[in-house]
Amino acid sequence: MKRISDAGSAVGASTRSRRATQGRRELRVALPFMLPGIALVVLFVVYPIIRGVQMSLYDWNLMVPSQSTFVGARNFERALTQDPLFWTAARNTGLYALITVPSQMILGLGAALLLNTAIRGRGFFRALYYLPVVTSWLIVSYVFAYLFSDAMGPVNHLLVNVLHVVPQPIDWLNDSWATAEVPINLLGIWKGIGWNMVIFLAALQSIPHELLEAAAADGAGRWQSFRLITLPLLRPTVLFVSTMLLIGAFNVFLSVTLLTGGGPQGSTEVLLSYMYTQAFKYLDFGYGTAVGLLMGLAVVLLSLLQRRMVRGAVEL
Amino acid sequence: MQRRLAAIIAVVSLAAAACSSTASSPPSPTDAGGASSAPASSTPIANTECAGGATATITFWHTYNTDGPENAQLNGVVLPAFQRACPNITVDAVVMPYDGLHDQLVTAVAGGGLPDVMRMDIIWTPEFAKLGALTEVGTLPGFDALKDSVFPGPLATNTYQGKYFGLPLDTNTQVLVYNKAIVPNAPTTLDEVRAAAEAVKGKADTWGLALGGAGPWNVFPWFWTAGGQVTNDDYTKAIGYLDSDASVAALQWLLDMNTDGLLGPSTLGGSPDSWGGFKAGNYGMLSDGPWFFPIIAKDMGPDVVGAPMPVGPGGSISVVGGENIVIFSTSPSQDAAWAFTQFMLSDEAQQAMATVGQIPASRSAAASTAVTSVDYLAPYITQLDTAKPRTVTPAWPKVEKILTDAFDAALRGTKTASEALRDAAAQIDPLLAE
Repeated sequence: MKRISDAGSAVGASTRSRRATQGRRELRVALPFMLPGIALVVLFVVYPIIRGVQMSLYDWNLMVPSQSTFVGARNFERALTQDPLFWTAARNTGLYALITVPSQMILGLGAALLLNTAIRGRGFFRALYYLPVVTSWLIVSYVFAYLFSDAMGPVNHLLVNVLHVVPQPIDWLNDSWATAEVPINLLGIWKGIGWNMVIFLAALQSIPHELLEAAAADGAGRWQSFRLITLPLLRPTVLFVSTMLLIGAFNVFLSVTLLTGGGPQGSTEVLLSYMYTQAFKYLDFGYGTAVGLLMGLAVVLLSLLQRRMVRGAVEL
Repeated sequence: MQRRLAAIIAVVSLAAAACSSTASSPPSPTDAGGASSAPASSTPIANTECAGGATATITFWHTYNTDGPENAQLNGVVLPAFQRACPNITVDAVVMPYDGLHDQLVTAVAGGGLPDVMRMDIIWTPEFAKLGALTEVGTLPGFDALKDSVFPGPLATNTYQGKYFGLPLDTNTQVLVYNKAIVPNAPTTLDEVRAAAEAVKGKADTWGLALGGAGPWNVFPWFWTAGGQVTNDDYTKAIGYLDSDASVAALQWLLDMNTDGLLGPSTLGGSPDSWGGFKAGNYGMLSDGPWFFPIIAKDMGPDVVGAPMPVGPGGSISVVGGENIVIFSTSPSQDAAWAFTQFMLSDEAQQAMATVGQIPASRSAAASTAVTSVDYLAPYITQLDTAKPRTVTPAWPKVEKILTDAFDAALRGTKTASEALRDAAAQIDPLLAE
């Protein structure tokens, strides 16, 4: 770049045009390879987003879309200023992110640290921790529903009959917001540990041995070398993982729908389940897409915020 | 034979066309087959079937069960009979799973792929009528005769803005089911229900009465029987009805049962669930539909008995369930779809489905031996005389949620009966006004 701008304008122009034709030639070769991907993205990502934005501005008529009533920003206004359930759902989603993201990371990192040492059956434990990740949400939700079922559930049995910490069986899923959030969040944490473990394990194995050995030679204890060497080197991984997990946390849907259905009395509704209810139960597609777009906007903003933090971390 | 039938139909439809001005309902543009009011006809089915003789294939979605005998009866008896009557119309019957069907229909409305005819849950008809997805059948030839032949409660579930968008195909309701081993004598009043429940109180894991949940389907029979009301008669107003003193007292009756430990945990979603608990002897009484007998009671011996709902301040009132048959407005074969709809309401089809436990929506079929020979159906037929539909409104999914939350909150004690009902009524009224 610098060389071109320093040279005479004639040379620059010819280089530019040569580069342009070369670029065009490259594009011609690359285009057939890119087209299927572009077409799929346009069809399944770009078009639905545009259509979604359009729908969110209307009182959408499902049968005859052309007869929909334009309502401007009223759907957004309704969500933000008139609908307490939207804020319940937003609060629950945020809380879910706040609880499950750090917990998954700490437990995942812990498992990775344990499996990073030369213990017997490493492969077995790795597979064991990863199993929940690849198991369908549907299945593990039903398993948790069983574990946390009322009188006869294993969790209640443990708490009441074995540990004697609560006097009465708790109807976890139906009793109140507080009790129903317990299995929802526990499930989110438990299912995510394995994924965190795998990512952290890969990062741990990329840390040069020499550094830790040198620290040990200098007399650093295990905690010191973890805090001063391992953790700083894991920082990019931590930020990558937290970004991914945050997006994942905002997508929480199936477990809530299957465990509580948003109940009791709508108190455990999350943004996605609320969007689904509005669109498919109440046929209010305009409002449903508005809720969905607001959620998408929140995810984009939070991700941007995190990217700034990542940039800061890399510069360190 | 086939050709002769076609000729007869052609003649009759000509006659009908000539005399259509005498029809009591205005002939619609889709009227190609003939009219029930044609002077030559005494039975509405005979001359409207087969839709003018054009060949057509129609898709019919239904939820007849496949583990029971319903689907086999449809495919083995009812559809062949229709094929004989109308050789030019082929019916492609598709079994749909009930779970998720509402959402699937919504998707089909938006994206295409709707069937021509469907047997749908009665609570969906006004909602899809409002969407414009259903054909208004109230103006079709022969409708008035069919309208008079069916039970009024189920018929009412087909209305939207005073027009008819379907016909009831089968109906059901709930009655009191009790286990003589726990409740020796049939309770005939609400007080006797309470007394029977008090008699078993204190026995471990035993409750006198259990509800299958806190939603309208489970609560309404008790709420209505205890004197409660949901809306006025034309479903336009809940304030003044749902929150009236009588309604508060009715809900309070149920709340008292709960606080006094007489109501099983299944009412609030706990376990054992109502069926499992009844089977295991945890629950003495339930209110449930006719399917309870072939599925649950069949293994329990003669101790399990059905009886009409006990009498309370509101009478002995239960809730109407069942299915309507509707035609989608997107169907290109409206005439064939209507011919099939009419056939499904004929005594022949209604009785054939009754033999596998479908209570006919048609009065004459309900009085036939196909129904009276099934002894467990007797209290249901009696109960249908007074059974009421749930609030007939396109906003039913929202109303149902509001009512469920209200009943749930009151039963859990987070709101008093009057607070819960007042809040619910205030939320429901704007929905009914939409």
